[in-house]
Amino acid sequence: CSLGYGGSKPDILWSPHHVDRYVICDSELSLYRIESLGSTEAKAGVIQLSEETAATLLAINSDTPYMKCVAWYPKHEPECLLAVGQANGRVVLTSLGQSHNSKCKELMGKEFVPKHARQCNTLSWNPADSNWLAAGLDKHRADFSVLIWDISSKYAPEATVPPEKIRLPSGDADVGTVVTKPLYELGQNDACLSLCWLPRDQKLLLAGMHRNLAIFDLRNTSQKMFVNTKAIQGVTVDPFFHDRVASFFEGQVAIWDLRKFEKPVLTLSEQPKPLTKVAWCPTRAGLLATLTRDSNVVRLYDMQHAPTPIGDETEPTIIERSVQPCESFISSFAWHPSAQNRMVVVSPNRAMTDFTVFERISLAWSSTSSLMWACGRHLYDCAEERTGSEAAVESDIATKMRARAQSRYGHDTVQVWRNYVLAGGDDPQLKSLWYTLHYILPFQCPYLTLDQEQKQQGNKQTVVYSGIKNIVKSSSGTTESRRSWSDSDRQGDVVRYHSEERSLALRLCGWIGRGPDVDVEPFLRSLEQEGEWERAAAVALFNLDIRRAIQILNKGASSEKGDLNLNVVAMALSGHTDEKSSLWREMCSSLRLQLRSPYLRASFAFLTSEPGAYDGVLYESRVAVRDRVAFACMFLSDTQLSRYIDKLTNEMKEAGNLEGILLTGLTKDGVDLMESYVDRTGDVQTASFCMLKGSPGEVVKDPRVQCWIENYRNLLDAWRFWHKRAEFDIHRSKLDPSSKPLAQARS
Amino acid sequence: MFVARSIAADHKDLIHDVSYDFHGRRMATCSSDQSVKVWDKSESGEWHCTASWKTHSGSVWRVTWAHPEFGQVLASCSFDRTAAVWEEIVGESNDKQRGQSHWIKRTTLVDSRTSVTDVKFAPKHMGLMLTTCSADGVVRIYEAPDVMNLSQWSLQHEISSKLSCSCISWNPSSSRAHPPMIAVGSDDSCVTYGGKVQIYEYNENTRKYAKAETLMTVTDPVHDLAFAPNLGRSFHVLAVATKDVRIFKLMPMRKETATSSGPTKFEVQIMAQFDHHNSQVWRVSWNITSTLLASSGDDGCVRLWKANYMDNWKCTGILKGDGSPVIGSSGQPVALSAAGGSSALASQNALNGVMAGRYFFPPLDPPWAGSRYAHLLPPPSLIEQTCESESSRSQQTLLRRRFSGPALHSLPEKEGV
Repeated sequence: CSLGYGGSKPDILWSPHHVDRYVICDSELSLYRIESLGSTEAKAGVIQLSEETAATLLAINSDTPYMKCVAWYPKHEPECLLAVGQANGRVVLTSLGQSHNSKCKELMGKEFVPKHARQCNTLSWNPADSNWLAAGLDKHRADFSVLIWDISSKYAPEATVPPEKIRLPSGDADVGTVVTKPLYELGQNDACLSLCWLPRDQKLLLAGMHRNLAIFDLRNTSQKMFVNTKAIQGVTVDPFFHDRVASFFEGQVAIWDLRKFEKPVLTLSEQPKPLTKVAWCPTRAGLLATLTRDSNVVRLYDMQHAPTPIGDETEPTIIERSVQPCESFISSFAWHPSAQNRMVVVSPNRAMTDFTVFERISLAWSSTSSLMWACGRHLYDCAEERTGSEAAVESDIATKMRARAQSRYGHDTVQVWRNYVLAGGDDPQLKSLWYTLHYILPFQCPYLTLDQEQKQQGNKQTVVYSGIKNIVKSSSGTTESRRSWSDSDRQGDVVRYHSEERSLALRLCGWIGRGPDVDVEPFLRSLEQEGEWERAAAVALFNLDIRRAIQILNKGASSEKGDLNLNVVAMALSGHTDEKSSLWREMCSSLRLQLRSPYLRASFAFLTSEPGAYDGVLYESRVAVRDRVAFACMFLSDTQLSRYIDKLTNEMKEAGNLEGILLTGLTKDGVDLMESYVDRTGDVQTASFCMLKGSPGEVVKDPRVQCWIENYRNLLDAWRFWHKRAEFDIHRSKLDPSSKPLAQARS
Repeated sequence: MFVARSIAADHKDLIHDVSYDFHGRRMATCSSDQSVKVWDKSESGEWHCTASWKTHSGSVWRVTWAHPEFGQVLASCSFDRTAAVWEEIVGESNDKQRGQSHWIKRTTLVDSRTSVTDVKFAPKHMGLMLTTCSADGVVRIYEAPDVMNLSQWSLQHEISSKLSCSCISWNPSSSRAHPPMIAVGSDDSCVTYGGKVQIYEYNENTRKYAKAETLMTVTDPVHDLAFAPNLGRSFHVLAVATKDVRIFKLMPMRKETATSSGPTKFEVQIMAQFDHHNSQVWRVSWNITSTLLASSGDDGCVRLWKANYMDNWKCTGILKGDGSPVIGSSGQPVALSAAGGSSALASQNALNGVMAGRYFFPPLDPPWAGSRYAHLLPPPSLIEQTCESESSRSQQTLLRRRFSGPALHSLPEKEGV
């Protein structure tokens, strides 16, 4: 490492043999042990490095001031022997912790001193002959800048050399010994900034010199191979490709192939800030990590290559990534020697983070809503699991459609409303849709329920089928009656409108039954049965039956899960007075907005409204569309009604709200509405079944409808619901005889 | 809630792609170990590797299935500059008894001069067509004129995108209103080259593909893109993996005249833009109804995105790449869930100690004993690259628009009859 520690920017080194130990070097050396969090719980002095790991400080060594570089002895024993290069060029052997190894004791404190003092930039142990330690020094006139020391050398390695050993004045009992005669001296008249031994031959040393990269062969020190370049810092050999070397200069990394040493085989994209560290990943081939000054990201270069015919020039593919191990700037990092893609980074203030670089994840959804992903060499199958607590949570439409297909959703052609139950019975829009279709159906398909009334209404078929919007448009002969609250005999000022079309609309809204009977009572009873007290009371009120409304509310309050507040509401209702300026009116109009139930809000809005001004009911958006439409059909004049219905229809169309099918019917308007529903939800299943009910009509021939049908069939195919698809095709051909018997649609 | 289980993949190097067949019952994976593996799902839901073979002489980037109507057919593409088509052979060999299937190479497509980075079959209704894109910026569309003969492919179209291509996606819409359309992403890192997503559309009259749109706002490298299953919608949705997750809505503008022959004009809207990965986004994938999007990023996490009824997209779940939960800032695991708003629920559960999820922590791999490349030649005569300045990164002042859906009128939610 060529970092100077004078500025106390910490560097980090992993122990070459103990995968749980590393050293942080700044002004001193600190040895840490890393372990999983569970085993170190609540121990003092434990520093958390990640969610799973923590480090314990084992030892500190501050014996060696002016550290410039450190290199860990590569052999297993002695385990904590470190070589420290100092600012004066000396190399000192030191150790962390107590070692009982005699060799270690012998080596501890040994110093290797160059002839002339200058900074020691880099150290490298020979991986094969661990007695050899190469040191790279700054330039000093014509002196050598690469010195190879033999750490086993005695004070006088050769008899011929006069003993130059100098005893340093030292308070230690351990008297340091000084070696001044290097084994080899190289790089005369030059400076050396980085060094590494080449694994392919223990006698070859690669050095980043002042203006060139040089390979020294110790068998013939008079010669060297070199290439002129500025990229002379941080030379490092790819552990997986012994001929591949990285070095850098400022913000640029050069990759070299030692067999074609004349120029870099590749340079990586330049970084705006100078690089401080470049390191090959020891656990994965071709992965290089780089760090620049003042940065919180580590950049990774994944070099991919393929064997190609000789002489065929290709460019290797480099996948560039950056990872951010921590929030703060990174002073240095070190790959874990064996754990895959793992590194520890240290910040300028010595905060440490244990970090694993994730491999890039590829992923895919299956047609049956499970997610598979690949991370590194592992596969993960991820499927949705329903847990109790999530029952209330809405599942995705794909899951819903699959479940609905299996429950024969859409196939009930007699009790059409039941399709809502088949769909799960929890979607208010689907409820509205299927009830609407249920009410429309008898008009539309007279052969299904051939009662008298049907025959009479036969000519109305197309009108009904085209929705309330068109029904009220065709309305003629509207009569009006002035009505009052049924408990008073006097003629009131509530104007109610009547026409055949309006009655038809009320039927489609479900307020009154079929036949000549226009009594709303059966509807009220069904609401009571379902416990929809507020709604029932509101409907009763809209029919000007205040006593019935009060009765309903009382009943609601005394019912099983009754809300006693309903009695309070009943009490308020019973105070109703027509007096325009009464206190009752004043209080009701101001307090009604605080009511939680939209139906109660609408009820009081109605009671306190001026004649003909019913916006408080008509635009109470949480009141069901069918109730608002029924209300409008009773109390709005022809022009008002038509304007209101148009407005509401457009709103429904824009929002793709299926409640609006009541208004549009199965017309082009309806397809438009359904289009925005499909755009919004993707529910082609409902769209297909709904529009098929429009058969035999133009609407089924709409290319959009055909497209939904085709997409739904395709979904059934993807889910391997062959029988469901066949059933759907049968259903379709029954309703739409014109549909071609397509065995395999468009295939 | 989504729960991840690990499958022993047994690939000897990084897996680059995973792909389901049409039914989701078969799966293919490809790897830097130059092989493709085919997996079959048993009735009990377990995945079994039923075939594994060496497909290329370089990293295999992508693998993809043809529609089952064309048989059991796979295509793969590789750094070795080729794409290949594979077919499963149904035979009465012993393989069947051993639960193994046999795949043979039907063709090798050698037109590319550089790494083939993606391969995709065109939507079924277009016939048996295969598309590749390569690092030299060429998109190639091949057709098998005879679907029974998978060894004959003719190169029908060559589209030069001028930028190094990383990914392609067909618009799956089968509607007649939508001409065949393909989106091409580029991982070129030079931001000054402009839009990194190009959309090409087939023109019936000229019988050629013409550029219909360039997404000029995507200036950073694109690693993946995916058209959402259209499902009869009136617009197209495209997810893009770049330095963030982006979801675009492409609304075809109605053509003024039926005879106009130019490419469709689109109104392009950005529906969502998420930098939650806080790093490069690597892959995006849609579920079958395009109501859920999954993304993976360099943060090593898989995220799920879902839109509410207002078209507001939200992150509804997150898991780490190893299937373990992500510890949120609150110190509680955040569950991966397809349902909106349930993550809070799930983390509550975790607090109560009744978290139902099972999480798998894979063992760390043993160190590599040797190099699988040891026998290979190192990079051949590599070319010195001219370096593009990266300083432009700071110049990017991309609009960080958070999309919020158009305000709709509040509508009745409760309904009864």
